[in-house]
Amino acid sequence: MNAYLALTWMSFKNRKVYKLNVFFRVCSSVLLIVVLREIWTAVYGSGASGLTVTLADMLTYSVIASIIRTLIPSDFHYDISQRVQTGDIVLDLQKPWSYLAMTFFRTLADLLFGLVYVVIPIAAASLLLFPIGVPTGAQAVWFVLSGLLGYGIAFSLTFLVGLLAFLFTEVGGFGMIKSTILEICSGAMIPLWLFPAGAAKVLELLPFQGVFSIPISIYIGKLQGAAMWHGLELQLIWAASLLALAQVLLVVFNRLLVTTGG
Amino acid sequence: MFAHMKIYLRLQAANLRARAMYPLNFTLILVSVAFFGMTNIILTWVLTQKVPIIAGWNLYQIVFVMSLWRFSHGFFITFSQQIWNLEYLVREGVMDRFLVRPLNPMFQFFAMRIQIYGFGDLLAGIGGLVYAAPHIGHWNVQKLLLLVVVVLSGAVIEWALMTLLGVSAFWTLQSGGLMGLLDTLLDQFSRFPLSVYGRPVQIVLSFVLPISFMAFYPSYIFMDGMEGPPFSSVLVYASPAVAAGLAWLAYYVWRKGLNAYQGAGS
Amino acid sequence: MAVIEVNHLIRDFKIGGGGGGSLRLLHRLLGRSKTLKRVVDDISFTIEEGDFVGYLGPNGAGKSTTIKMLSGVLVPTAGIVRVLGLEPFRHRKANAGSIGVVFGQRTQLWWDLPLRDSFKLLGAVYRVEPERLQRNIALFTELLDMGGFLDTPVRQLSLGQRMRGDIAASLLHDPKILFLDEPTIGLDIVAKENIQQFLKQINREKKVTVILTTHNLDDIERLCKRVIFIDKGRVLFDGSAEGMTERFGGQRYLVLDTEHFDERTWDGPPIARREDNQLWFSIHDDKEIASMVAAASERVAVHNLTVKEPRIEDIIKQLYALGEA
Repeated sequence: MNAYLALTWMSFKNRKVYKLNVFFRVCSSVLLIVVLREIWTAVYGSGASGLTVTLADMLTYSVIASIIRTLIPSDFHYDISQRVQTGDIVLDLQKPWSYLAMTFFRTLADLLFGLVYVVIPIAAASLLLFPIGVPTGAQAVWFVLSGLLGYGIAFSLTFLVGLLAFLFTEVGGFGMIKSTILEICSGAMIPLWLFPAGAAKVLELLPFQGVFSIPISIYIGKLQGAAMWHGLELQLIWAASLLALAQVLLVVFNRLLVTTGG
Repeated sequence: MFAHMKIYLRLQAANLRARAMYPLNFTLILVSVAFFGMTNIILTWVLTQKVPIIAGWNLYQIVFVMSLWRFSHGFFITFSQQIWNLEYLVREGVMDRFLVRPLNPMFQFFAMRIQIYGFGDLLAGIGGLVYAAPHIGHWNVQKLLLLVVVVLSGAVIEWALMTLLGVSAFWTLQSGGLMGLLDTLLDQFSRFPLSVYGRPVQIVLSFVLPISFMAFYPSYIFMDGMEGPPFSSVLVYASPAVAAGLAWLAYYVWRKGLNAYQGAGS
Repeated sequence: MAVIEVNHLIRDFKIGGGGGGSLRLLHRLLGRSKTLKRVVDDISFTIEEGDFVGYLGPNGAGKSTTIKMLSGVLVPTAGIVRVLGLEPFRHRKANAGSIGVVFGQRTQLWWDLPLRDSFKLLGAVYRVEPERLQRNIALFTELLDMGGFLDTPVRQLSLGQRMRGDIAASLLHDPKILFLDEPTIGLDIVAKENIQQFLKQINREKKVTVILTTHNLDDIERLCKRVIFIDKGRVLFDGSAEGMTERFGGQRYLVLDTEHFDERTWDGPPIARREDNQLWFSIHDDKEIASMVAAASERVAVHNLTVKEPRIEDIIKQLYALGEA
């Protein structure tokens, strides 16, 4: 475990801080927040009946969604496919540690980086410019837990896309399809409760809502008590099964690689 | 001019041939770009199930504007995504190569590569237009011709704005951040018609960073029974003029940038 | 006829001063950083038609900057550059049509295309008539031995193959002048000799004036009639390759392999250098050689004798050292 955490710390420290890049990343997030606020205000102004939550809650929802968006690991599948293409992946797989865990702890550095350099400025900006609600007590704790589980799901999805590189070498297209599905089905833009009832039922069974919808719903207090437990349970099941799937596939592909000699 | 066309076509034919060597990959990326381009259509559909009219716009009208933008954007991506590589080419000295050939450097730069994944955006744009167009107004040949002009103007506007930012690489050696910001801006504000936003945003996106002329203002030409646009109904026909003005400015700044790169009079 | 005239040429570069990162960017944007570095400092020379000039100097001496000013990529800060009577920067397109440029580190070929397609595209870019283009492609393919890989995409070529392709590409429009920036860097012996042979031939038969920067000594020895050596933006030497040898360490040595040599009792001709049992004597005049051998063999046993010719490598080292001082 220590070795993995050290890896996280090393990756964090080695990450070059391109100040300008960080600045533009923050700008992009703030921009997204502004756009979503304006859109939701207009939508509520055009007829608030049937929108389930208050405008204030909806605005908070979009701020948190924008922050989560900058934090979840969504493009390291490119790194995996690159290493598969160059053959360097063999070196990674030979190392006396789990490749899955290694990748996870390395992306954790990005999470750390994002928390320090991106989330704090955005949070400060949103507190000053457009105040949002903040959960208190146990609800806050459950939100953090739910957020981490969501992070686990997002990580597994990207990792699975990366694994496709063993079969197809290039995975850019798959990555984009994953992003599109996540964008539509996770509640990242539109909360699941605004979907037609039938569609919402289906989406509530899928893993994607675990990344955005469940944690944010806990944040704004829409999910509480038994419903919240159910949500967390769902996240846990999905995170665990996707990680397990990733590990199984990794072993299979590794075998394939060894027997065919890469 | 004819010689330029010939060179351009030969170059792009060669590029396509090279791409076609990986057909599976090519198709997959094309499909996923098109799918990605339709995300907003799907999300808007979802939203309008609950709120049918948003700030005076119905589903078809919203989809029409965003698809008009997507279609122009597709042309931009296809023919000028190269501008994203300018900072790299400047840093690596590849620009030198264009300067020792007897052709316009800007032509050589943009002719270097077309980005065929722009076809995905074109596909998504066409899909949305075909879905929405029959429901927003009456069509005739004149309107179709106007649509062509509008789409091309839109592509030129995006090209000019991106070039204006990208050219900063000649001085600063980095322009990716600025361009990324504009890209996010375009991506976000193309989700809904300008009417949805407050006055300050409307002013900025009309007169400071005139991206609303890509699709929002000209869309009024094609929609029956809409109230006029914000500010003035003259703006509806302003896209070609805005495009021409920005294109001139972009070329002027490009020349300045190239001069600075060559070290003339600085 | 002089094809290139360079007169009191100067080129400054702005060096980004101030703090690092974004602050520096701000400085650049505001044009505040005024630290100037003079990379080319008052250089003058004239190159005649048909010359084969080695343009030498250590890294950062200003070689590439000069070449870029001659080819119209960079504008001089001061001074005059004329190529075939025109100022390259002001008449960039006209100049581009009459010169060929090879930047050794970077290819001008299209990465994804077969060599042949790149040639055809360049033919269109330079508006070469189809028959002439065909003739040149055929000629260069033969001379540079490119037949085996003319239809291979450039990204699959070896460095030597790519460089041959690049050199051929730069000559398709029959330029009067060819600039080569490090054309043989990193190449194996066979590719190198092939390229040298080819350059010699086009210089002799097509009367192409060649200006070549290189760190490769046998390029100079085999090809260059004339050498211009610069350092820190100034010309240290300009003249024939032999002239350079004469002036800097044009020293020939008589080298004797001996036995029973004792420094303390030596009263023969003065010894320039000693390496174990080898004695080195400076030759000032060929007529001295016989008497030196005789004088030495009276005093020690001589097993073998050789005359060492000066090597350009040593001269360049000397010149580099001169530049350092």
